[in-house]
Amino acid sequence: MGEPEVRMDVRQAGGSVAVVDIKGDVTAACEPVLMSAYEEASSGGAARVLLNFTGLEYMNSGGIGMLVTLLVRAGRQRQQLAACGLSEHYREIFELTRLDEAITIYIDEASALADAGR
Amino acid sequence: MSEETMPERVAGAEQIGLSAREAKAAIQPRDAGNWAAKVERLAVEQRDGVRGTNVAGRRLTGPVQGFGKMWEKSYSLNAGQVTTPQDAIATWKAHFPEFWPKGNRFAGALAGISPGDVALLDLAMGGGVKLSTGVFVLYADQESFTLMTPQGHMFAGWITFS
Repeated sequence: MGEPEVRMDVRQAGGSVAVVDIKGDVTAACEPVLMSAYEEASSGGAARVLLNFTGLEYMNSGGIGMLVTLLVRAGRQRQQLAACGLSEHYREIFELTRLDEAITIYIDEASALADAGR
Repeated sequence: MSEETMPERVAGAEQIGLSAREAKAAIQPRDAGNWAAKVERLAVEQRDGVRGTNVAGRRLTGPVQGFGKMWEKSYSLNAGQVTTPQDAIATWKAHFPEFWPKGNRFAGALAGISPGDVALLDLAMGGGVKLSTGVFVLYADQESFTLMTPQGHMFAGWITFS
């Protein structure tokens, strides 16, 4: 298995939200990268982790399976998982797989942060 | 196209009036052909040899819609180094209905396993009881395919062969 072609950068967005900027390919191979990013995002005590998919270029079924693993981990820590920046194609995949019923989807980061600030 | 009719260069998204979001949506990602199109409820025709109940009109269920403890189970076998992953998956897709244990029947689409296909299943549950259900092909590429279960299936989730 080669190196995952993905980059995940974590930043605190103020309040209790941490953002993970995802760029590249999301497959099962990038699970260590995602889990590491998630741990970094959680280290500041974030109540909500926002996955920013604006830079998403490719995702297979292994990748979306990995999001379920992340969802379980976030649930154990009583954190909310949200997503933003999904293209129409990937938003439909979230709806088809019914992941959108567990991961709140926002059109962009500003909308997600505005909702978190309410 | 002659040189006279050929545009000097392709117009950028802003020049033809697309927003950044629309421009992004217009570009098809590499995985676009691997995923099934969105469906609200399953539609499937009757097929010979299976009862075909409990599928048409049902909604799909993922891991999130199940109840009880969430499981991820992986089973693997060593197929040696002669068979490539692509060959193994191509064979699996082409002959999937033949690989079921005695008493079970998988009636898929004629073309094999492609994203969006719905297959009907009759499963032997023991004691002469049969469960009629089905699966939806959620994703398929050259190295894997993933099935998603409908309401009424004994699992709520995804089953990936890779």
